[in-house]
Amino acid sequence: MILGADVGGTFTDLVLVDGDRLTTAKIPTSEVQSDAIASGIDQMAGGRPIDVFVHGTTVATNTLLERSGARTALVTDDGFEDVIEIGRQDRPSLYDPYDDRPKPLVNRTDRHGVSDSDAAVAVGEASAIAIALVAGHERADDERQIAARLRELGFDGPISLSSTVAPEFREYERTSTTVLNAYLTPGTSRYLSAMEDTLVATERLKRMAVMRSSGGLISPEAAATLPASILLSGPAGGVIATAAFAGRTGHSRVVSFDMGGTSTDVCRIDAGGYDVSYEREIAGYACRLPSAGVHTVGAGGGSLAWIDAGGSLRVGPQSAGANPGPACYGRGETKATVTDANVVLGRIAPDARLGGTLAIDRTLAVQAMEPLAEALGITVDAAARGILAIAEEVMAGAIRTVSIEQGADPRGAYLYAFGGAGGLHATALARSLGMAGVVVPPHCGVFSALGLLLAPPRSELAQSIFVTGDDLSAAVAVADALASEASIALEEAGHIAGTVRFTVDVRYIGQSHEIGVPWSRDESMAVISQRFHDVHMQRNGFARSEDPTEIVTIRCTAEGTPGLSLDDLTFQSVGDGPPSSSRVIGTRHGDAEAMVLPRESLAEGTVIDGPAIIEESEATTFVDIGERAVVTSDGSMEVSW
Amino acid sequence: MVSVDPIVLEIMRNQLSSIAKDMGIVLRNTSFSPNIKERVDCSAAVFTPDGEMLAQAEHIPVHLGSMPASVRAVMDVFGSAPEQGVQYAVNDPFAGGTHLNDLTLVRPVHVGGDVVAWVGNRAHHADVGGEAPGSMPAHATTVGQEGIIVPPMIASRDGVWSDEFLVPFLEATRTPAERRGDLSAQVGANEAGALRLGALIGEHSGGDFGSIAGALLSYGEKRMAAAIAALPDGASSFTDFMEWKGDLVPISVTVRVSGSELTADFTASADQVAGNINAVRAVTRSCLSYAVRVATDPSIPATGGAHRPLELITRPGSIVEAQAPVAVAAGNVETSQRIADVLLGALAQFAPDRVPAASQGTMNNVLIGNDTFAYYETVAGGQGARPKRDGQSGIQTGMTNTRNTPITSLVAHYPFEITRYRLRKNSGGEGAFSGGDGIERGIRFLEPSTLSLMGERRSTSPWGLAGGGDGSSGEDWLITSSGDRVRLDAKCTVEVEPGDELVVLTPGGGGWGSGSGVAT
Repeated sequence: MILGADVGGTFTDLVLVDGDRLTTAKIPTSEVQSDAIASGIDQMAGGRPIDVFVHGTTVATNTLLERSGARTALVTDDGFEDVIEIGRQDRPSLYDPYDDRPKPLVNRTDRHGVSDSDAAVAVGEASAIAIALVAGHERADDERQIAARLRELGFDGPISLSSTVAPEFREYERTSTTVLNAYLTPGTSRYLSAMEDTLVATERLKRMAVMRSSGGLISPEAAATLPASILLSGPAGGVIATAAFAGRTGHSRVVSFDMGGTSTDVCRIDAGGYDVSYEREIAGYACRLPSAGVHTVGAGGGSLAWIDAGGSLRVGPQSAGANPGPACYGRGETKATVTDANVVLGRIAPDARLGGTLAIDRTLAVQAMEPLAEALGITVDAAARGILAIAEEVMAGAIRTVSIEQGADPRGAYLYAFGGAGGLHATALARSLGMAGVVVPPHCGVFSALGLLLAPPRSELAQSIFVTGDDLSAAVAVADALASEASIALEEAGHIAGTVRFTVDVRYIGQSHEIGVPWSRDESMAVISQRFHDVHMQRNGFARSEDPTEIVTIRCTAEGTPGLSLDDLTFQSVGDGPPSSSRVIGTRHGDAEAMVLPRESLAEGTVIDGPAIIEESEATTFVDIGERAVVTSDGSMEVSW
Repeated sequence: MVSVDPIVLEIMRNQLSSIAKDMGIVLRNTSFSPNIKERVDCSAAVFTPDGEMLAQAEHIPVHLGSMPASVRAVMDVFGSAPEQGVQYAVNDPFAGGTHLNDLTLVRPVHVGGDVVAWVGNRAHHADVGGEAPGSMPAHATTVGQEGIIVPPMIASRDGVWSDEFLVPFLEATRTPAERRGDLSAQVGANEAGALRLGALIGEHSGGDFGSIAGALLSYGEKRMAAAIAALPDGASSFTDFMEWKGDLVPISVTVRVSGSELTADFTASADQVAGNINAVRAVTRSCLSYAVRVATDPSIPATGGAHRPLELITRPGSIVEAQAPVAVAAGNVETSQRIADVLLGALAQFAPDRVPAASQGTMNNVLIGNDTFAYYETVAGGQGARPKRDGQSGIQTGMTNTRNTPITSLVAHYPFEITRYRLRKNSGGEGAFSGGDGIERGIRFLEPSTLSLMGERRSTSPWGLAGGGDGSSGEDWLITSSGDRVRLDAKCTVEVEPGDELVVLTPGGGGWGSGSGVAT
């Protein structure tokens, strides 16, 4: 019996799999996060212990956003103490002198420059230390020696080394990642051990694993020493679940589309694989640890509509958030949101209850829309349509970012829609981008939690090394060392390292943009170069196949077996939910009578011609005029036109 | 004017911005030089058939207000019905450029045989020939000494380079392989932009897009007019100085606000000088666009329409409207900072709660090279303190926003090492809110090289506001291998030997408000 729990700001999503039986729950997130999970286990597991509990957590993210991490000291080379503050020296906004860079996580008095690695450093009140020499990626011994000296001097808190956390060459990004890691370590470590202790001590579970930003699982102990690797733990679950469903259906090119209240996450998945990104900024701080190539835009159901000084209708980036939420929630917001537009057009039921309790008031949505309509000289309906069209353009932009901008054509790909609002906007988006169709998978309200169970245990390591020419012996030596270290890490967490993969970051000599390409350690430089030219051609439209290339970083991934495969589950088409009804809604061709169907009543093979609304707890799907949804054997709805 | 659905307008605005952004990404990802990929010294934009800017990728302020001049200069030479599949190059500061390093490539976008738009991008080439590596020789008096001049000309046709452009350009530069790589990236970026823009416009009929473009320009105009109307009417003058061979050269502006119109009159500024600190009018125009946004509403879209409520008055032959063939390399990178300073100084009278004290006011250009390499960087400094907030330290301000190149990447590719890179403590001006600190950067040379410096605020200081103190002036030192410390002129070209170390101390920002350190 395995459990996935994805803790969000408002709700904790739970998916439990027992044999081939899957149950889900959505519980308000508790102040102490383990409380909600414990009560979920009590409801769902019938008193038996969970074998493996996979946790998607926002603990590291929240610590960063709330700036509640440890007081952190930085030890670096003498003369380079402020690399962490200067960063890349650019400013976030060209024209806004008030749009400040985030404050460094190490204040000036806690930055210590040393000129030799035996120096005695007094770190004062700091409770975590980051050691990041300018060339730390090739000075691991010196960083270890500094750490040893700090221990001798009596420091017993966590120490993060840049040569361990992110041994890549760019010093600011490496230092920032190392500092982030040190800053997050005490809080994350406390949280995870409290969670594990509470749930294990009360015999609710046997073992726990944590989702990494990259979509692999690590042990709580490993996560506690590398918390910068779980900053994007949440969105990764949705990507993994999408990849699994797409793989089973045979869709080789898909984009995941997770639309919630305040933001929307999209990710491109080709042939079951997704890009892993090493160049992220999280809350303005550079983080060079791997994360699924998810692109997030601040547009969701709660995005506020407004009219700017030039008389143009705008949507977002301000959001009504989870509280007060959209105007129709009746909790004090008076400005119109994307959700209100959906309510005005009847796509969300005027009497819907969110989370089973919160009733929606359509009158409030209309009232919120009126000032906008008046200012624009159009009807309330037209204003609502305008808000949706603009929000959908912002989201289409996000899909372009993960497709066209990376040299991948979205035409012919499928859009996998989930999250509370994904199904409301997916077909309009997919049509505007020329995509092949939309898939709304089952359990789409808790889809990311399901993905947690489908993720493999994984250990990921990297090392920068500059290699030119045909002799790869140095690269092979680094690869072997990384592979051995990664496999040991997996085995220590109780897994068998099933597969070990390498990628190498390659660039044209002299160019400063590298591309990661797969490599097996017996392949020659010529093979690597050809692969690099091919990807360069695909992404950028040209390649310089006669120009010499160089390797700059080697990356290793060791992976075990996921706890769950989709094939372990069977879809039970219930077909006996509440009866269908109908109501008038705003479609793309004006108002029309639409069928309204409860999702749980849909059996395999059911065909639904738009306009139609399919409702389930925490999610709604809109099938427009001219579109047709078919329920497939795994319980997905596949929409085409 | 035909009225355009406000919703269609907002969608098109997003799409055009996204096309400009895409072009910038292609340019960065495919360029060869650290200067473009790491430092992002480049910009991209979309224009109307008349060369008015419709959308931009936010990169470098001094590029953006001046790029429309490049499109217009091409039209002046080739007419308003250019050939299909052709890309044009220009860097001539007196015909669409700003200084020679910045090479702009523009490309018309055709639908059904008609020009419906232009796309363009500008990139800083680290060396374009001239009398010192990096192409900013301190002693230059005419533009011909600063490198190769590219008047508007055909750069490529259907993806094939025009030898008339490429051969002399590559012959002129000290680093032809790197230049060729960057040029390919520039061409590729325009092709990518043209492809998407053509498809987008094709979805609308040509006439529709014309009225959409018109509405977008008029939208920008409305936003700017609303921002100016929020300022009180009146006039305010401000003068500040460029440092030139021991003299101070005044730049003076009078800003007048009347209703929703703003005039910036630079007539009283000094004549152009026999040196390279002269700015062409396109640079001054960029500064005006920049300063008004900073002082009012930073979110005004940077379209040609937004410039309509702004009137710029300059005097031909003055330091803010240089005439051929005077040298101009520093006009773009140094004088532009002072022009922005005087504009903000004058605008502070209209928006005292918004305008910061003076920021470092220089780009601290450092150029190093010999026959085998050309390296260029600008070093950040202190931001001026804001009303109710300290200035930030070690950050790019004003007309540039280029990044640094990672030290670990520099030492792998160039014959020098970095000896220090840290904040210059207490260099920000005092006040109720302190100016940001400048930077201390040290470079030790490993090969005989030519070093050019191009900096400002070495004898003058970034001013404080509302009683705040001035920021510290910058300093440049050469510490020779024998241990001698030599104060360098901030505008110099010198030969350096292995073991010599350059130390640049960049200025701090001015303070804001009297008193000191009273944080609220």
